[in-house]
Amino acid sequence: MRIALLTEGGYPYPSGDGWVWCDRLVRGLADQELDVYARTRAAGRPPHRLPLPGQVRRVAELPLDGPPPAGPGPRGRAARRRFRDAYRELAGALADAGNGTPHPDADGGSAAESTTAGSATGSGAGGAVLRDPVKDRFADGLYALADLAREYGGLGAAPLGQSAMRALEDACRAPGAARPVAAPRPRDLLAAAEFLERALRPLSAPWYGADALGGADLCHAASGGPAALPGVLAARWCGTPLLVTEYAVRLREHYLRGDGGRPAPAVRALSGAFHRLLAGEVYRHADALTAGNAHVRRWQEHCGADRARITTVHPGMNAAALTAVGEASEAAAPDPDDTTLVWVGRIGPAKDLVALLHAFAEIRGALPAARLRIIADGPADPGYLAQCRALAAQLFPDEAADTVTAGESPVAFEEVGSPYVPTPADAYAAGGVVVLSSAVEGFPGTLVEAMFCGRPTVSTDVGAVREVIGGTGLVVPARNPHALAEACGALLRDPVRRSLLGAAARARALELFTVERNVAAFRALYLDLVAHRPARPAAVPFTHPAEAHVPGHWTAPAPTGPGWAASATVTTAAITATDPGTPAPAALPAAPVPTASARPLPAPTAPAPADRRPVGPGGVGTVGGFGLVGDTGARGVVGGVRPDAR
Amino acid sequence: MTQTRSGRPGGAPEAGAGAGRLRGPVDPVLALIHRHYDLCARAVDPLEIAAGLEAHGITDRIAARFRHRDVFTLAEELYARVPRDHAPDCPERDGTGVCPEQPMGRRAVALHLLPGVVCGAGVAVSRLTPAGVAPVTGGVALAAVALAARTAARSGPLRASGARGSTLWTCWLLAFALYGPYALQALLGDGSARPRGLLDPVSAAGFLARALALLPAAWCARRFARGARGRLADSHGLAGFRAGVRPLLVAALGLFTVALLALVGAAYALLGHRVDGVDLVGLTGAAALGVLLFTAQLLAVHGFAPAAAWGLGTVCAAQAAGLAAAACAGATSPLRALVTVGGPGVVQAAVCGAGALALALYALPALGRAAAHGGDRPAAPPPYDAAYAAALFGGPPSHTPTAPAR
Repeated sequence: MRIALLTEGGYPYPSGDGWVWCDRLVRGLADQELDVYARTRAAGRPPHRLPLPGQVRRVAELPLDGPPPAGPGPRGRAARRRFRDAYRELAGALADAGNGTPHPDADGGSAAESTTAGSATGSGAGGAVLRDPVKDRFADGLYALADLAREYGGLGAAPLGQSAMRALEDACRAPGAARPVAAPRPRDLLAAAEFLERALRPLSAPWYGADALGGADLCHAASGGPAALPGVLAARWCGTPLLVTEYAVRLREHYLRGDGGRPAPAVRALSGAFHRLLAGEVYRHADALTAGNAHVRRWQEHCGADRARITTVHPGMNAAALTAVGEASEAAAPDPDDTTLVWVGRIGPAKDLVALLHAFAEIRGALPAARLRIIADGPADPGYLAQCRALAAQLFPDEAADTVTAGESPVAFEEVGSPYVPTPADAYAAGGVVVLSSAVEGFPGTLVEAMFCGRPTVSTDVGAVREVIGGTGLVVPARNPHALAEACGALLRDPVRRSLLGAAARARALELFTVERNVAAFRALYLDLVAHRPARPAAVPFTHPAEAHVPGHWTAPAPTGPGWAASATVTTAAITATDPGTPAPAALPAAPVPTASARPLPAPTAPAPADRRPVGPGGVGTVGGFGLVGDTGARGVVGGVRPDAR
Repeated sequence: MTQTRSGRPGGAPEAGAGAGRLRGPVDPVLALIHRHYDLCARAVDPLEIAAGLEAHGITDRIAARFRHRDVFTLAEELYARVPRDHAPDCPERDGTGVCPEQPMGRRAVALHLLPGVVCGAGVAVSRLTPAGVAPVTGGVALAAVALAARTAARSGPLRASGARGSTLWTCWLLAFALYGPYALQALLGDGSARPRGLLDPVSAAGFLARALALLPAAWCARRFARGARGRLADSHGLAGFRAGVRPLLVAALGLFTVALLALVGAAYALLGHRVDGVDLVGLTGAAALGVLLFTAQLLAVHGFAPAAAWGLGTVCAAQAAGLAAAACAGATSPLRALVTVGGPGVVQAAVCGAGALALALYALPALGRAAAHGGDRPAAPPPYDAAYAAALFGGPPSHTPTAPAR
């Protein structure tokens, strides 16, 4: 298989968020061909690429910043007019996006919409029937610009030209524009135009030929939003299936980090609208979506992604170094005297170490022998570290067993890489219970590592903690030192329970969070996507029998049976309908199918609440379970896991 | 994220508190609004509030205590209830690239003075050496001055990414200023003409003035760029910006022209005391060349390098055409009459003057575009912009919901 990996701001350079995961995936797919299409920062990125394994055939880069690409852009009066009109549509959509329906339609609308959008994308055409006029205008403008860029070999500096700026100004000043953008200064317009120019650069990239994305078997976007834009265009022009993986919601990242500098409200409104509308467009056109955890999945659903197409694929961890610790702890007998708590992570305010220290003070009241080791893994926030040290010194004065030995504080601040804790595995091995006290958390990587080491854990109920921990550790509310103290104390007093929970945690981690698991999940998704891809027009005559061009599947029997089975017919019809000139099959319903989705997958009739959906890479079954209809539990079994099995 | 006294992130020690802990009949969302007032007032989008709330640790379960299905609907309520405050309270951060309005350091000033010094030395050397080698010393001095000017323009407000050919055209223009009049005379059949290099007071004065004018040129360019940035921030629209920038450009070009004329006059007075009549045409040509080069550089600085190169190239072609016309001119050629009336510098004066005028006319609308004044801002912050996040989401809650802090 030839897989095009689309990245933004990270891989193949060791920067950004997702490069570690991308690197593991690429290394795991040793038997495939990979092309990497990267949007990279020209300024501020690491000077050297990661060493790329042999399966990476090609790396194409497009700068995210710097001057606009050299190129003549649209030439001639007609082309310039087309550009202006398309840009006006796009700008109008962005300026109006803050009004009317304040958010992309939530679950209520997405089911009806997915039916229509699904059938349209299934047939490889981009003209999905959209209900929201703003989304409609955005898509129209975007694709018109893309077509123009393809025709003229790029947009060049046209998005910074006078006509584009004027279109942007008119859109902002038009009645009905959202309030933050209503009175833009030239500076804001300029910043917005520069933002849009950078965001639209994938349109001008020479990536859509048969030797590039057009020839790939599928596109895998390593994050949503701008990274997936080339994939959307490839799907539109070449019919390449698109898989979008999000471990962090790109849209949310945009809101939290901004896109450089501190722009004025008008610029933030326009860029936010662009990211939001683009996210919706990407979700609509992606043939499969994977979410790193339930939180990401919720954002995706909120932004208009079809539930039936989302699979949860947890990030895989490199467990080789940690498994030895886990094996050792499993082999050893429970140690009743091990009353050391370990905290591992990057020290910062979000980790709420203050609560941990207060909780530990309470634990010490009941268990005077308890120790706490706070081990920094990664750069610490120096101010917060100093504050925590001061608090620890205040709460826990140095103590000694008798009057002749030197005193020592029960709370030790250490860091990975020091002589006592050379590696992260040593950090987890250092204590009997691993504790996580975060107030805010995304995917708790340290928790997973602790699970690999067979350590029982006590964690606060934040982010994806519940999902990760399952029943293999104790979960307490965030910002509740008393609850944290009680849970830790209970575990410290009960060595048998500790070892049982540790073993369970280790088993769960090995089942769900290994790299192999992650890569296997993606491999299955790839196979599934490629299997559903419409056959390409044959270059050699007679490679396909004539019956292959007849509407409806020529080997399958005529559709009979319950209503949901009609979806299979629709799927095959959608496949053959890409051949130009083929009449629309009679089996294709004119009206949207009320219950069954037109996707290759029969949608569950009653989708389970997000919390109760299969959380493991059992999503393999979600997409691949062609014959299993609508039963969440059944799909979990097909995936080989019952992740919520305790 | 800023720390409050309790050391909890985001200054929300009771963010997890449910409605049950609040006393009185106050609706619980009001407390949330109070706590996250800045975030809500500054948001341009409910999703921005949702992202900010999540960054503060508010999850769906906490949202349920506010009688909302999830954080998104809670954020929508907050977005609807808090009046927008879109005052640009975050100062715009400019790009990391070299801002033209940065004051020039001592080193930059010295670099900009260097061509003048080199040129002065060249003139002195030309006068000290025998007259026969004057063309050679002049050429060497010219090359040295061009090199020094190029170095100077790399660092200051005149820094630009030149288009292809612009260096070549500039060299041709300078060489023509030095040898052009002689070549014209020689081609027209004037046997008495000798190449005098920098011994010719008009050429020497022109060179010295242009070399010394580098500093005023940098100053004018910086003044223009700074003014345009100011207009960018306080104009009401693109049309207003265009109208505001035009006088700035005219002022910049005018100031430079006046400064250059004064320098030419002074240099001529200094060097030309042995000449009886003042060669007004030649001096005008020298000044016109300076204005032409300045206008072209100004265009190149603001992203119109190809247009500037085209302009310079056209002027060079016109000069070459003048030479060609002189080579095949008959006795009654208008060129011959022109040279007889105006002296050998007439071609340069006419061509450079016309070129400078044309480029200035081109620059008036071109530099009135907002896109000409964009700095190169970073496309995205390195990994995590803590200060930005703090400004957006952190900070202690404002004390009165109606008047946000900062």
